[in-house]
Amino acid sequence: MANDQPIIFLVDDDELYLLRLKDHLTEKLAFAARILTYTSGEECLANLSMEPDIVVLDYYFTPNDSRNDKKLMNGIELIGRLKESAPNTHLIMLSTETDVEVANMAIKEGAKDYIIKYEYAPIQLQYLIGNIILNRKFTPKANYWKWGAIAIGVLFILMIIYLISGLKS
Amino acid sequence: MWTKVPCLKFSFDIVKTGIFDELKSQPMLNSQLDEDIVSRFSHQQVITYFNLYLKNASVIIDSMAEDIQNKDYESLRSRAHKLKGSSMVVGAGIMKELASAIEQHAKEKNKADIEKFEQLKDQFAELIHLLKIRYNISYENY
Repeated sequence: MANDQPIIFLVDDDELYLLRLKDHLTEKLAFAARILTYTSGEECLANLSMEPDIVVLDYYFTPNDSRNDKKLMNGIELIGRLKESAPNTHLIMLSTETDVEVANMAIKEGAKDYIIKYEYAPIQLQYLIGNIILNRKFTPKANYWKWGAIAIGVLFILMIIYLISGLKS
Repeated sequence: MWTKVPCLKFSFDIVKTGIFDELKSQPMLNSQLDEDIVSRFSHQQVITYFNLYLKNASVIIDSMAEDIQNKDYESLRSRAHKLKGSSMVVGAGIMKELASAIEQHAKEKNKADIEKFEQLKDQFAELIHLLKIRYNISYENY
């Protein structure tokens, strides 16, 4: 989360859908976010150095140029690659695919959420992203407590060892 | 009598002046576009989204015709899937339903639903006409 602004990648082969999603999230999210759009999984992977907090990805990817027969990786393959390279990124699959097997595969591979692309999916996504970012903001505080407790525990054990060794001598 | 029931007089006037005939000639004003979706767009978004939609959809429909000719039903399914998604964004409900039917047919039966494809082309032509009337979006730009 660079500069306290969450980074959100939107990955879909449909430029129009990307534009609509980006417009909707920019207008409706309760916080400022850097929203970047990519039309293929390959493009998304090439920009992972930006360390996105959330990646929203489609299932099917077809080349925008109909004369280009190059096969693009699908959303499930992309999830696999993202899990290896960016394990802390929250992955959301957003697809018109209603086959439950695809949703199962996506979750199994490492997606945290699966949203069916329908007319009001941008609104659903807006609330989901809001909740994810809210949870992330509060998670580090919990971690500070955890590490603090461990440090106190270690100090306590060292003190006892010191006292015991002092008593023996 | 008409002064006591003004709504009836109004209805009568509409029939008399032929406004209904004029409305009937409009290309499916109420069912082509999902008003709830479109009303969420700003004017600038309407222009941007529909310009992009018309440009992309015309390319996809031409490619679908080629797929049908070449009997490439996997490619047809993939393009119909893409058109379904784009149509959903702009609230083009009938286009979305037809694209979805073509996608399903290609997926399940490995065949082209020619009848639905012809309907899709007709609906696209009507949508172009509707967008020209409502928003002055001109398809001839492409």
